[in-house]
Amino acid sequence: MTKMVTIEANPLDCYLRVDRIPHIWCASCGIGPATGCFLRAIDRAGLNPDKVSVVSGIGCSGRVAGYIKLDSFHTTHGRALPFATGLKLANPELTAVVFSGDGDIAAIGGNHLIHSARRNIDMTVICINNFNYGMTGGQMGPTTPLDARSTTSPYGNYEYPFNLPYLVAASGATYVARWTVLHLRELEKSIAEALIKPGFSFIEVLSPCPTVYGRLNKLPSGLDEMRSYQERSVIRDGADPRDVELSLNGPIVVGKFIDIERLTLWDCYQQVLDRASKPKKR
Amino acid sequence: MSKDDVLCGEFFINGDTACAEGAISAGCRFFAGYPITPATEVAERMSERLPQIGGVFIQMEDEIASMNAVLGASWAGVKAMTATSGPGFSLMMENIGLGVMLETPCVVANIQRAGPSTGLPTLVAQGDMMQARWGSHGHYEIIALVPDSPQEMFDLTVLAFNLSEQYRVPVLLMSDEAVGHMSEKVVIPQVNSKELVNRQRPKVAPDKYLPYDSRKGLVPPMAVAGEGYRFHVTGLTHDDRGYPVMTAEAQDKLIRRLVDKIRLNVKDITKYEEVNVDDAEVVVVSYGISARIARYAVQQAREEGIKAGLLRLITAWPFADDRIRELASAIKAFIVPEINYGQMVREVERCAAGKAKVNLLPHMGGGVHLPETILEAIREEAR
Amino acid sequence: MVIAGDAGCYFFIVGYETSLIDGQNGDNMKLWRKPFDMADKAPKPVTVHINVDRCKGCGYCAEFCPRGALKMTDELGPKGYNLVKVVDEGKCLGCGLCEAMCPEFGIYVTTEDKEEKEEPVTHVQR
Repeated sequence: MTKMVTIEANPLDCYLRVDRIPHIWCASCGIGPATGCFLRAIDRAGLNPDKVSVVSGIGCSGRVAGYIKLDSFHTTHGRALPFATGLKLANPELTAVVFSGDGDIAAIGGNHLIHSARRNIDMTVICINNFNYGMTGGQMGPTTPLDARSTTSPYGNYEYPFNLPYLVAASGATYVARWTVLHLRELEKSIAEALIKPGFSFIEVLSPCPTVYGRLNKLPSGLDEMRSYQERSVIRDGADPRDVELSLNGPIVVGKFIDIERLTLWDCYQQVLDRASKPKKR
Repeated sequence: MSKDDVLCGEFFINGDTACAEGAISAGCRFFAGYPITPATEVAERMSERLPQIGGVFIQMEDEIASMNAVLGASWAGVKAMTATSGPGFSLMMENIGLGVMLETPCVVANIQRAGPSTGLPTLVAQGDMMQARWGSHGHYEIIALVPDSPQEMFDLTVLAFNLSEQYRVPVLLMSDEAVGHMSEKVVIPQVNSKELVNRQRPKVAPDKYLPYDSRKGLVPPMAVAGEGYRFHVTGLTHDDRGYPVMTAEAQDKLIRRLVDKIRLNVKDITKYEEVNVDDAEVVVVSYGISARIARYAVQQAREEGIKAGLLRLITAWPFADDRIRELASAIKAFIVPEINYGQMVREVERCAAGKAKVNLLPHMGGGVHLPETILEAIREEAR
Repeated sequence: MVIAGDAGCYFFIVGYETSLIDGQNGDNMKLWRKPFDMADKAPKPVTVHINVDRCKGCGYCAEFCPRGALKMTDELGPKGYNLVKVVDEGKCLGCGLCEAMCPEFGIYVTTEDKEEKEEPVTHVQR
C-alpha cells in the first residue's frame, strides 16, 4: 500500500527540527542521507540524545547543525573542532560530534584538524566531502581532485588534493573510515562505532554536489555522481590510508581503515590532575 | 568550587599572575591559550593552578583555537578565559564576534604591547584600545576594563567575569605589559559566592525554551549543552528560537538588543576613579599604567597650587560619556596621556564637544610617560 | 524473506523467487519446494509513505530500490518537482533503503506492527 502524504511523521522527525524542513540543500544533495545515517546511528549506538552536542562550521555541510534537534552550534568557518574541544573538555560527559565539510575542516580548519587528531580528543568528526566549496558557488578546495573544474579552477585544478584518511591517521586519529552516501548501511554502522569508541574518530563521507561540482565535471545530475560512486567504489576494510587517495576518475576506496586503541586526551589529563593534586610544599 | 581552591592572603606577585588568581576566585575553571609575550605568565599560572583545583588547562595550537575553545567551554557551562597580546588579539577578533553573536560569557585578557604587527613584544603600549571597541566586524557593543596595578588585575578580572555572566557578553581585560609584568602586593580575599554573578539559567521546560527569548528582557536566560534543552545557536543573524533568519527585520531586532543590553545599562557598567576632580580646572583623563603616572603628576600640580584632577577610566568601554560631558562644561581643559598616538582622546573630544580644550599627550610605546611631561602639560593649561 | 540492506549486499542482490508468494514468475532462482516455515516468514504488508511536500524528484530511491518498486513519474508535487511513485507494491519488502537514501527525509516505510502502535515514536525502532 502506498500513501502519498503531505504531513506525516518520518521516523527521524523526532530528531529533526521539522519546523525548518524542507531544508536548504539542493535536490540530490548527499548531506541529507548522511545526516539521516548519523541520526539513526545515535540510536544504534544507544546514546542519550540529551548528551549529544553537534558542532558545525560554515558551508552546506555546516547547516546540518541547524536541522538537528539536539544541542547544536553553528560556529565560524573552520573552527568547529576547537569549539567542540572546549565543549568536551569542560563537560567530558558530552558526546561531541563535529559535522562539517571538506573546505571547512581541511582548508581553513586544517590546523585544528591535525591538532585535534594529534591530541586524540574523544570526538567524532563527520567530514562531508563534496570536493568543492558548494555554498559559495563551487570553488576548488583542498580535496578537489587534480584537473577537476571549479569556478576558481576553470582550466582544471592544478593542485594535488589531500588524502584525508592518510592525513588524519598520520596525525594520530584512532578511527578513520571513508564511505560514500551510497554506502548507507555501512556509514550508519561506522558512525555508531565511532560514536561509541573513545578517541578521535574521523569519517569522510563522499557526497554528490550536482549543482556545482557535478555540473562542472560532467556529472550533471546527482544520479550521475551516485552511479559513478557505484562503479568506482571498492570496499577495502583495513586498507593502508596511504593507498586510498582519490582522483578525478580513478577508484574510490572506501572502508574502515584505522581502528586502534590509544589513550585519549582526557585519559592523559587525568594523570595530570592526579599529579597536581598531590600535596606540595609551598 | 571549594573555598580551598582560592589562595587567600597577601602575595607579592606580578599582574599576570594576579589576573590568573582573580579568574580562579571568580570561578573560572577553564583556560585555553597560546604563548605570547607579555601574556604568557597568565597561561603558565593557569597551567599550574587549574589542575590543582580540578579545572582544565589546555594550550591550543593558536589563538583562534584558544578563543573557540573558550566559547565551547562556556557553552558547556564552565566559566572560561584566555589571555593574549596584540597579534593574538587580532587573530581572536572574528571569534570574539562569534562570542558576541552567540551571547557567550567569557573573559579575554589583552596584555597590550607595542604594535602594529610584531612591534615591541616585551615593551608596553596602549595601542589596542580602539580595537577593543571596534575590532570585530559588524556593529556590536563590548565591555572593556583597564587595570592599573596587579591588585586591580585581580579585582577587575573578578569584575570581568561577573559582568560577562550578567550581560552574556565577552568582556575584555585591556591590561598592558607594564602592569602585567609589574610585581606588587596583591591581597586575595576569601571568596564570597554571593558576590559572584552566574548566568541566568532557564526556568521553563525544554520544549518551551527559546535561546534568545526577547520576552525575557535584554539578556535572555542561557541553557548549556547536555541538559536536555536541545537548543540551536548560530553565528548567522537569528530570531528568538536561535534559528537563522535572513531578513532586515531580524537583523534590526537582534542588533538593537545586542547593543542595547550594554548601552541602556551604561550607568551600572561604567566605572571610573576621580581624584580631586570636584574643583579642578584641568582634568587629566587616563587609564592603565599611564594613570599611575598621571596620579603623581596631578598630586605634584596640586602642591604647586594648580587645581588639577585625575579621572581614571576603569571601564574603557562603554566610555564614560556622561561624566566627560558634565566636566567639559565646568573645566578649562582635559589632558589625555596615553601610550598611543591618540585613541581614547577621540572619545574625550567627542564628549567634550568643544566646551573644553582637549590636549593629547601621546607616547608611541616602548616606555611610559615621565611625570614631568604630564605636569608640564598641566601647567600649560592652567596658565 | 526480507532482504536487509546490509554490508554492501545490495550491490549483489540476487533475485529471490517470489512466485510462491505473489503468484508471479520470479526473477532468477527457482526454489524446488516451498520452505516449511514459509507462512511464518511471509513478509508483512508494507506501507510506503511519500511526503509530496518534501520530495524533490532526485530519483535516488527509484534508482537504488533493490526491488524496482519505485519509479519517477511526470506528476508534479505541490513544490513543482517530479514525484516518485510506487509502481509495484508487492515488490516492496520494507528494506528501508529508500528511506535512508532520500535526501529530503521524504519517504519512509512502515510495516504492519509499527502502524498498530499508537504511542509517539521517540526513538527510531530497529
